[in-house]
Amino acid sequence: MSLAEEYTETSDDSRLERGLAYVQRNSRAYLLIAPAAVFLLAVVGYPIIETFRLSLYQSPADSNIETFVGLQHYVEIFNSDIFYRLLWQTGRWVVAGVAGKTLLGLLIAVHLKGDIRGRKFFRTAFLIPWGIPYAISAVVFRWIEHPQFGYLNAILLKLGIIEQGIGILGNPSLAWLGVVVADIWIGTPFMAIIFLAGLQSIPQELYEAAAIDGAEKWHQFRYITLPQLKSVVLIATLLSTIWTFVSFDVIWTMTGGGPISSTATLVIHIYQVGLQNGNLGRGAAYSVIGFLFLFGFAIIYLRIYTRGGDEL
Amino acid sequence: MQPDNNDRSVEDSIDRRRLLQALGAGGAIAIAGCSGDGGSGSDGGDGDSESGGGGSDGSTQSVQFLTMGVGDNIKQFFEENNAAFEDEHGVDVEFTSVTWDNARQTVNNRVDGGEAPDVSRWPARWIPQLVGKDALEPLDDMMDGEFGEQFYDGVAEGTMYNGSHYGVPWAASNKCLYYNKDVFETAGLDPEDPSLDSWQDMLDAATQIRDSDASVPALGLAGADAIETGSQYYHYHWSHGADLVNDEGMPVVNSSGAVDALSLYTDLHLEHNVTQSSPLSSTRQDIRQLFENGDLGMVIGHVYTGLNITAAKENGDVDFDYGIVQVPRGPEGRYSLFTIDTLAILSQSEHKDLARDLIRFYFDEERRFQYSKQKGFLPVVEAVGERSYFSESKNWGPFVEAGQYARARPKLGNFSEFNDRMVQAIQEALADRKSPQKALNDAQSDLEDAME
Amino acid sequence: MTMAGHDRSSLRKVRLYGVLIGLLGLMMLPFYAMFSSTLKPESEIFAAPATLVPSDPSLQAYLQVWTQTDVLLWVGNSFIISVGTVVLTLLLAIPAAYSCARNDFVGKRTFLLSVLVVQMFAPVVLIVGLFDVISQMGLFNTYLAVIVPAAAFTLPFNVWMLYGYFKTIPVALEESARIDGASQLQILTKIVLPLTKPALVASVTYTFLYAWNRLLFVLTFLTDSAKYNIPRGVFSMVGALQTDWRMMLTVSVIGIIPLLILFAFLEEYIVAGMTAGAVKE
Repeated sequence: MSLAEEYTETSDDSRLERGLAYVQRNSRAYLLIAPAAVFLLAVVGYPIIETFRLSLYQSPADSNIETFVGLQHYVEIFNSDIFYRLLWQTGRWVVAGVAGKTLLGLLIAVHLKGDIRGRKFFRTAFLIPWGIPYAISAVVFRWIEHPQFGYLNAILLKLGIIEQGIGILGNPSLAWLGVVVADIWIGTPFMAIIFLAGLQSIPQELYEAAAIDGAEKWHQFRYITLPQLKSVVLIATLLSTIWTFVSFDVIWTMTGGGPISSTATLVIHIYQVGLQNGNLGRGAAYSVIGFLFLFGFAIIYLRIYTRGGDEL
Repeated sequence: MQPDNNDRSVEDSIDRRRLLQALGAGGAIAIAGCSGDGGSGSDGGDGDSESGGGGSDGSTQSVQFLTMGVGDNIKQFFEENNAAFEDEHGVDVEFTSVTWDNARQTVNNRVDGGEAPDVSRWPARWIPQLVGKDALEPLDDMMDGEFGEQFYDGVAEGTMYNGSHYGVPWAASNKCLYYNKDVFETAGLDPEDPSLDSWQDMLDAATQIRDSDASVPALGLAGADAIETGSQYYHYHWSHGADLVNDEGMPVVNSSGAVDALSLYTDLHLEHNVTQSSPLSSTRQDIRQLFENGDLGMVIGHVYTGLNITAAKENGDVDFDYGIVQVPRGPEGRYSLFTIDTLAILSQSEHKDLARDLIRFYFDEERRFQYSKQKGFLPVVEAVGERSYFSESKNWGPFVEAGQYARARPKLGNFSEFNDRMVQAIQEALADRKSPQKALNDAQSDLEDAME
Repeated sequence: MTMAGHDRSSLRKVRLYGVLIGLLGLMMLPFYAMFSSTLKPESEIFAAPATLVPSDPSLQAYLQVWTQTDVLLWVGNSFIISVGTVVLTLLLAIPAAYSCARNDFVGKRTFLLSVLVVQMFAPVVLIVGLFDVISQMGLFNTYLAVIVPAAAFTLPFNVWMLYGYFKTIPVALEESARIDGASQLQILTKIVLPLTKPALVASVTYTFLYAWNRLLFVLTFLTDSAKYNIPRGVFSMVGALQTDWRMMLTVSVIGIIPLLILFAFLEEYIVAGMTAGAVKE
């Protein structure tokens, strides 16, 4: 074929044909991701799309009739007081939880890294919180913090620190901290293991070289460990943020969102409004908003992460 | 975006490798299930499939029976009777029990998804919601006939909505006031003939207990963010002449009587300090538990509390005497919160006749007696209620007597939302964030908005 | 080393152990609360204030639990659900992750990102739609009704993890195998997968535990009590007016034991895998 003919040949192909040709050339690549993609689309895709759709309708609990209301839910939400309160409460819940889990996880990982006796025992023991269903751990913590039956009060009373039992979960200002503690306990093992893996892959030579140069342990930590762990920390905290944001079990079991909705996060409120009270449309609108927040956060976060030139 | 120093780029590429290694090697020991769990369920949506609830295909028919809150004590009752029904009718009974806190969602889910059970226990106050979705089968054929005659009058009415019976009365409960005789004695109050007729009497007794040597809280007060907080509170509300909705179904929760009631309720904690500590986190179950351990002076409770204590005493676990009197009266009367749970047939069922058979089976008088006795629910069937077991029992007697003060919560399509808002108002007042007047005014306006 | 050097290192060791034991104690406190309650009689569980040490500890609950509850059945079901989820999710994740690691194609970034998007919705929130999906697939009240959603929600993490790890495996290894005439499948199973053992172990652990601890899906989609897993079994013991806390906690404690055994085994693999990964560098 002459050059001119080749040229005209190509420009005659429609976009679709070129697209199909592309897919065909890369068929193996697409085939391999197909099962996962189709599976996700079928199982989770539909509910997600349904959520977006429902957010545009009014679907009361006691009827089968839906009415299209467009963006009314969103307008009402943004004009409500409770929304901003939920944002604040969700924000502090996430920040405190992720910070706690990260710091505690790091602390544990650093100490588990070395060649110590009983390492297997310690590592296995630290994983125990992870093996207990969320809801049960939450129940146990609710119990520990119980004003009358709780271990916490029993200990504090015995140590003479307090005179009368305190009820953290009954205090609208402090209840959220009582729940955060449970969440941190449950979530720390994950962070610890991730960091442990990261720490173990830092070459020992770096530390030895620094030690020879006379660097203190603390300096070693700050200038070798932390930078090396940077990417691990970033990914772990991103995931933890997403998971903590959508976390439901712990709060629901311990306080039901109270007292006076002081421990309610966006997801808790979605459950109460959308599912318990049956106002599906409103619940769906909140879900979409929550998703947009997380999505935006993830984008920004990943952009920061890939700043150093790392590709996806 | 520029590297700070020359080592940066090297560092970054090592970083990426570390990260990938870490993720790979480390262990995705993710918090098992960071995302929502526990409470399931949702409402509404468009149920488009019509694969109705009904068990296996093939030779044996099966009927799905759903109930709530089957703790250990009643499990055997159901297992035995289900097996008997299976033998008698040559069918399978698929029996499921869910917990109360996601009962409504579970059933709604299944209704919307086309997988509704055939027979379900269903509280009367939730009937309007399912009727609105055309999900319940009217059972007038049963209730208007001979079957319906076995019930106490008031009880049968409890299953009516919009002129039809949407279930048969299955279990009923009401409330009385329990008091700990040992505590009363220590406080210098008469354990055998306590003066607890009115709220003021109760407050006086509580104050005396508070000031005495008795080292337990005088009164149990439910204030947690839970449904039952409303149930405990409504006694005060109604007895002060306040109502939840008027005849047109519009909310009327901020009347002067209501304010008096909520003020009394919250002052018990805020001003008089006669309650257990931290009422804002105390559920009805918590305060009941405290009383059953002998660690509380007084509490409003079901007949089950007395049964529990009796059983515990037989085991040697506790050792105190208790007494039961009627719920104190307020200026405008005395009320005992009356709850009816029905047994309903779901309209999606493809085995409605079998479902009716199952219901009739369980309403054999002896079975009704066993159920009421073991579960600690009021007998709804007159013949059972008249058995000496109940009428002469120290535990049951006062509750049967309380029947005359029975008052049920209103049947509303959005009762769940209504109750939530009331609980919120109670909490706001109990935490001293708002005055009772303000809390109720706000609730009133929110409810008005919601009901329009 | 000098004497001073030895002292300093043993002092450090003591401090290390001290901190570890302290941390462990702190982390184990709630578990202690759980476990010690199972040693108390029901009435003592609700003592106000709580008794820190059981007054008359007895392992009776652990004897009664086998007859009073269906704990063995629940453990068995938990295994079925967990293993099923692991198998399903790996079958889907491995090819997908491999494809993304080895190829560059239009839509790859979208695929990877949207897979992450799934995590941004709490299953609780999606339960309406999920119910429709499960029921339309005819899976209601089957084990798959739990396995399928569990696999869907663990897929994102597994894809990302395996993707990251596959990328670190030099293509050269595969190419030399291809030159030697190995088929793609052989390359995958005989060369690539063995090298990604740490990542696989991580995936398996995460997925297994996610499925093991699932309550929501079992609650919503399983009505046959013969299929209950451990969390569902525990919650079936919550009555309206009465809850057998002692039994509930005992079952919870027993539910951890298989996991502890698993942890004990896997921990070794993770460690071995990690050092292998580092050396490979």
